[in-house]
Amino acid sequence: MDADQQLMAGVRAGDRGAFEALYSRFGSPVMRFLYRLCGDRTLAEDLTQDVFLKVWRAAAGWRPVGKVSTWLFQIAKHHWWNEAAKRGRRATVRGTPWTAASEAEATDDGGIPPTERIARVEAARAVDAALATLSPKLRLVFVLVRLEGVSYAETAEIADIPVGTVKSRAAAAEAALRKVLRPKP
Amino acid sequence: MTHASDPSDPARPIGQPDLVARALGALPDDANAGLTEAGLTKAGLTKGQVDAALAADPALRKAYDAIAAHLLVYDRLPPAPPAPPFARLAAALDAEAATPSAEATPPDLHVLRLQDGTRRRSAAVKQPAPRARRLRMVALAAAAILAGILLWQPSTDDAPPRIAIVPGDGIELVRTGEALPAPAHAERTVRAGDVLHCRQPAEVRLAERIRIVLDSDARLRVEGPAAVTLEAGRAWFEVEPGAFSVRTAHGSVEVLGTAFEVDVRAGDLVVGVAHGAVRARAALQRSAGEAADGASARVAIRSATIRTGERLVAGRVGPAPFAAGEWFGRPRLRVTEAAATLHGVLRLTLVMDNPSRVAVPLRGPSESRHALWLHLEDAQGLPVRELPLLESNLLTGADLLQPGLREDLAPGAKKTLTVEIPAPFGSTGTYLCRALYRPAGRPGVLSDALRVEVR
Repeated sequence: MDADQQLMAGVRAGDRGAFEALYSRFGSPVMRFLYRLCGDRTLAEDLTQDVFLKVWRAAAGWRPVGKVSTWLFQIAKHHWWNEAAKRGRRATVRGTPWTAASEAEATDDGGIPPTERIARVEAARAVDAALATLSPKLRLVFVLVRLEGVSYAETAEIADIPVGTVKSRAAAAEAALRKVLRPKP
Repeated sequence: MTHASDPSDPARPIGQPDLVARALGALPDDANAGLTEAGLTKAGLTKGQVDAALAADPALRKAYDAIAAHLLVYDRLPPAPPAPPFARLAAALDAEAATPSAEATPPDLHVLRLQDGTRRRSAAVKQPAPRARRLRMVALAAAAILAGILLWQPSTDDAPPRIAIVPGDGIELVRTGEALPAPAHAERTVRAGDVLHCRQPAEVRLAERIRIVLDSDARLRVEGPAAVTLEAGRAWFEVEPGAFSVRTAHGSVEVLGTAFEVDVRAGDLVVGVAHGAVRARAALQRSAGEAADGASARVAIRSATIRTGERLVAGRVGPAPFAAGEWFGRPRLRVTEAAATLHGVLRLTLVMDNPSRVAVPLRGPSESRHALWLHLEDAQGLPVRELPLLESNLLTGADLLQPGLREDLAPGAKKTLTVEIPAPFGSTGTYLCRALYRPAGRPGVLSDALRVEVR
């Protein structure tokens, strides 16, 4: 067993310390993943908590097969998908994208000139708007492959699609983004 | 562009990793810095060296531009917020562990609504029986066998058949008018005629095909394997094909294969159907134009069928303003539900002046999630009871009590937040607070977008 699996084995045994360590290790990636998918910080936080509660409850059934991160992303993906199904797809797919983060950035000095801050905010909004145009399937693959750096094989496992489909969706997502983000003449 | 033959040689031709590093802004100004940390290139190339090469080689520049355009998308992304602190998760775990019915708490309702493919996968992460519970079960089984061996004797008594098993704590079991002692951490058998009284939301299964989730303070009399009487409160039912009926003092509901809720807290029969159909018998009135003499008339109809997405409220069948059964799942309540609950239970009317304002971002501090409760209890002397479902991050009553917001909420009599919360309906206060503070699933304060009127 690798280190992550050993952690998970501790969680399976009911060790809260191991669970905290697991959360410390994977909480941010899962949060980031869900945030990139839904674009809503509060919702992403809720979903992240839900995911780890599910992990805690389901730990007894966990088997040390495959990467823990893949398993976690699978649960996160299912939970996001379920939540989207529950609320209506649009409600959990970048409904109010990054507005809060962008505003926070805009008001955060950080030694950055105001014009640069505004430019960053605008760029963030442009990227966000572009991401919002992606279908959930494309976004899922794009977030995993391009933003989270997950391998094609793992992404295929998480998204439950063939590797070839992962590649084609990643390419399609990039093409769509490039088209949207292309500078206007 | 050519590939480097020796990555460690600073004089080697510039390759794609160098261009990627340059595009990411990862190249050092100082040649000694190296890039091993970034893992992009091991060469000692500097930003200036790469820039000079780009200026000298149009082909290299073109390749770089392509890479930069590619990476620009990701580089622009604002950083994702950090995961919430573990303390929040730990609190949720503790609350779950402290809730007697936690083991029986069903998975989120939405799991039931999934398409087939995802439902199967969700089932894979469903909570299994915790070890402690299994051990208890084994111990109980062993004790039962032992007791059976010691005490068994032929008998002609016809003991009522067992209909369900409920946890020892969390559900008060009343048999022949007397509350049975509640052994902690043990399960008890329910027989026909028993009354279940839940202090906290709890789940019961009847005959393995009827799943019932009882809300706080619900009282349910088990009439038999396929019939119950909801004496008080509300309950959620999921029934696999087969006969089943729910009686109340205000009417009855006959199941036609469905998942639905029954609510009698307002002194009336309220039925909401998530999917399937039920037939309700009560003093009913058809709405949506079916009442010939106007909406105010109450026409006695012996029965009516309520189908998916419909709700029976105050004798009327019509489209449900919110999904049935959401109250017992993860609380993501909508303003419409709060409004319906307030109106149904407390005879209050929640008026939304501008529904588009419900997603106003959270403002002001939120030191105490109990501030609103304290205000209602201490300042107004109202009996408010906190529910275990309360989530640590939901109630931010301090916001409501901010002077500015108070003015927004109470500039006149119509906007005065005066909410009477009788003890049996403490959950309504929770609904109100959640709706106030968490409209559309995110923190928010409605301020002048919402007012509460007593009618």
